[in-house]
Amino acid sequence: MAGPSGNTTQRLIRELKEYHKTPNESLLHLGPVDEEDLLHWEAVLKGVNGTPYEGGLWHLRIAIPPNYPLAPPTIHFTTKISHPNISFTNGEICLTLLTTEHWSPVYTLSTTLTAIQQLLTDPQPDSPLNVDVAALLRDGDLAAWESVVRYWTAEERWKGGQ
Amino acid sequence: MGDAQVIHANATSKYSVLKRFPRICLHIDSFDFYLHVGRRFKSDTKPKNKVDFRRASEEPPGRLHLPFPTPPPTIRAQVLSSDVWRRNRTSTPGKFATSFTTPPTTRKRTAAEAAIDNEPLPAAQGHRTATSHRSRKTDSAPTATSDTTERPGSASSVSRKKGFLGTPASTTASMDSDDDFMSDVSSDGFLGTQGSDNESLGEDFGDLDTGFSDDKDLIRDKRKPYEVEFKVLDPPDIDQEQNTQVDEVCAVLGLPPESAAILLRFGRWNKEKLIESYMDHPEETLEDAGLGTDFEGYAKTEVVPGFMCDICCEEGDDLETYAMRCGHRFCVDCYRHYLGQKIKEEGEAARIQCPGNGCTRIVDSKSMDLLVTKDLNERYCELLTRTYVDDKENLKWCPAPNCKYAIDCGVRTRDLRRVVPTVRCFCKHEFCFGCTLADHQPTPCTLVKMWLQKCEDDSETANWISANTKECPRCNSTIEKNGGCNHMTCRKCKHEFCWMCMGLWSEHGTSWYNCNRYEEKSGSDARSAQAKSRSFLERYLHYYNRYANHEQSAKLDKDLYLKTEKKMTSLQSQSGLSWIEVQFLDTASQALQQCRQTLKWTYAFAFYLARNNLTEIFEDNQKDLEMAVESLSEMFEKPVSELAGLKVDILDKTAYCNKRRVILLSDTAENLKNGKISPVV
Repeated sequence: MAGPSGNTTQRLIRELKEYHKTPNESLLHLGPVDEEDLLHWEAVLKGVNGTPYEGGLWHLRIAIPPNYPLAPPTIHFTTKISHPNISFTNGEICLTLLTTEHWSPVYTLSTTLTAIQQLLTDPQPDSPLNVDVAALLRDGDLAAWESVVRYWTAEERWKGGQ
Repeated sequence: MGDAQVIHANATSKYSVLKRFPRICLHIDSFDFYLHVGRRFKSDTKPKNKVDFRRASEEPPGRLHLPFPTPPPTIRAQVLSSDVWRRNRTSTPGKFATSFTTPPTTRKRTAAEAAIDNEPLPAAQGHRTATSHRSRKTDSAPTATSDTTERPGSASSVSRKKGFLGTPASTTASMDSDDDFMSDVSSDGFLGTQGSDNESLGEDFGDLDTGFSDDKDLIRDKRKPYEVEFKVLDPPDIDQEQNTQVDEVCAVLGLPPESAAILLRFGRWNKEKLIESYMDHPEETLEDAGLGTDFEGYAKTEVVPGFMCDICCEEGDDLETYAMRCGHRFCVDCYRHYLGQKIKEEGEAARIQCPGNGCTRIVDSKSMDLLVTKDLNERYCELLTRTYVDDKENLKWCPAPNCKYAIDCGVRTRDLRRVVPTVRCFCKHEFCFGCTLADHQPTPCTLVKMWLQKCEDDSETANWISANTKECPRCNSTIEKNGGCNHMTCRKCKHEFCWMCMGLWSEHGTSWYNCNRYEEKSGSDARSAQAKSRSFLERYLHYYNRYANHEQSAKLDKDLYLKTEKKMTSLQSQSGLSWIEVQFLDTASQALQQCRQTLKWTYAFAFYLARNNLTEIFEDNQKDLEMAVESLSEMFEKPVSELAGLKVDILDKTAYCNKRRVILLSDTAENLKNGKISPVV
């Protein structure tokens, strides 16, 4: 499948409409980067209150495969974030949901981003991408972990649009 | 049985003859049994002629003469009641008390023999009969039929032959003395009992010839010690096998076949364990396997009013939808695309789950039939077959490129230390079932792995260093002598020593360039460590060079093989031989390939062998094969013009090479199996 099939386009339009109708609480923004290209979206994720990520804003880049929703989208953080399951250097996310094996076509981009927000509050230090911060968590040094996360959340907070 | 002391002189010599022929040697058990029979005839005080063992139930009572165990000659003609027969039988001592059965041909024979018995037969002749039987058996006479004919007493032999060949009319006609008897033999339908008779042939002491011909079949069919039992399976065979098992589980658990198949795949085709687990916790097992407990309803697509598909967000009252029993409903189009994605792009088949969020239900074959196109379904079945073969320990795909066959072999992983299971696929590729590498007889898989590792990696670099360099006696820096005199000065610690004796240079006085101070203690310690590592390296290189040489030669032979066809063509035109007649070159080339392959691995094997007598035998066998191979290889390279003249020699050499290979492999395989040869790892 080279370009997006009719089904994919229809589904993406449907998702966009759906998002505008009932916006996702955890997102500041979700939509295509360019109105002409439905396969490249961007999103801005909000940090959950009551966690070290509180007050944070992160920009994400979403690449959608032409056979979406049969295959999962590829999502990267473009804003630096300090999290055990997210690469600090390239923003790659380690989430089972995003693998072909565990992806279900029923998931939407909106629900997927909610899942990413949940990952922020519920890190999995046993399969880390960011080994340094995972080590802090594993050693139980919560104070250090919190301060590192708070520092990067404030330091790298997405400033676009403000 | 193995009671060699009871074998009488004549038989013993045959025994040793047998030993020289491994193929017969395999059947030493049956031979032993034979000796017992022979002994029985010998030890009986009077020549008892033939002994007739029959099953009581098969006897028409009172119709047959049963002179067993040793009835006096007068009884022979007497008609015995079945009671008497049984009494006689049970009174037989020892192993002869077991129940004996006689195959049909035997019956005729025995009957015929009984007929001879009625003729005045001298004692000596009866004796001779037994002996001749024995020797004939050991000589492996050609066929059972001819066997029966060459018996003493020409008149009786003719009649017996007829009896044997089963021509009742002529037999009865020629039997002047015992009409009653023969009509019994030819008319009472022994053939009907053949099946049960054949099963107990091993116990059949009654007739030697029949036992013999059967033994011969066994010899022919018997595998050589280095061969393993295996079966090549076609994909349809594999499907068949799967279906059989699915049907069995269906029958036992009362589940629909598509669900049983999912259950079996979940349990990795371990039927017993699966059934047990199902019986203990049916619901958990079904849940884990991705099946619901609900088997009601059947797969069909439906139109549900007011439905919106969660995947494509399409809605419409005429939208065809499908849901498995889990109830996650999607439009047929999306379902189809989803399955297509899984099968085509991801190569998944056995565990395709429902597209629903977090649903673990497995899509069964019935849904598949309903939803996907024919070629996709074919691919699905193919993938299922693949997982089946991967899941089963006794199945493996042939590793040859584009080969569609799988091999079924019962050799377990734990046996691989003692067995080298070489199998041959229909595509002619020979490989080891244990590690799927190309045939590596006689070396066990573990050694092959170690050997290849050893040859491949840098582990020998260290050996080279230790053999080609020396260490400074003071600072232990590794030093390679780069020419010049024996007066070494360590660049690092400036220690001065003699390269030859490793002793202090100052002790050398004026005898420079010519070290004669061998006995000096300072040098001898350094030297012994050196010698040891050097000998290790030499040992390895010895085997490696030969291994590599055969590998190289096999490659060259293969090139030659490619030229063979050309050679054969030119041979045809030059010598006027037909295409069939020049096929010997092809045979020879194949033999060369195979023998070199074996030889190559014998060197890897020998590297890991501890030295003992058996190793020497192994090396002798190796040497014999190597010499044969080399001389065949030499002949093979002769110019085309000479080849036609060498045909007989090449044929002989080819046969000899093959024979030596079989001997080497058989011997090694047996010793390996018995644990007599154990590689030092």
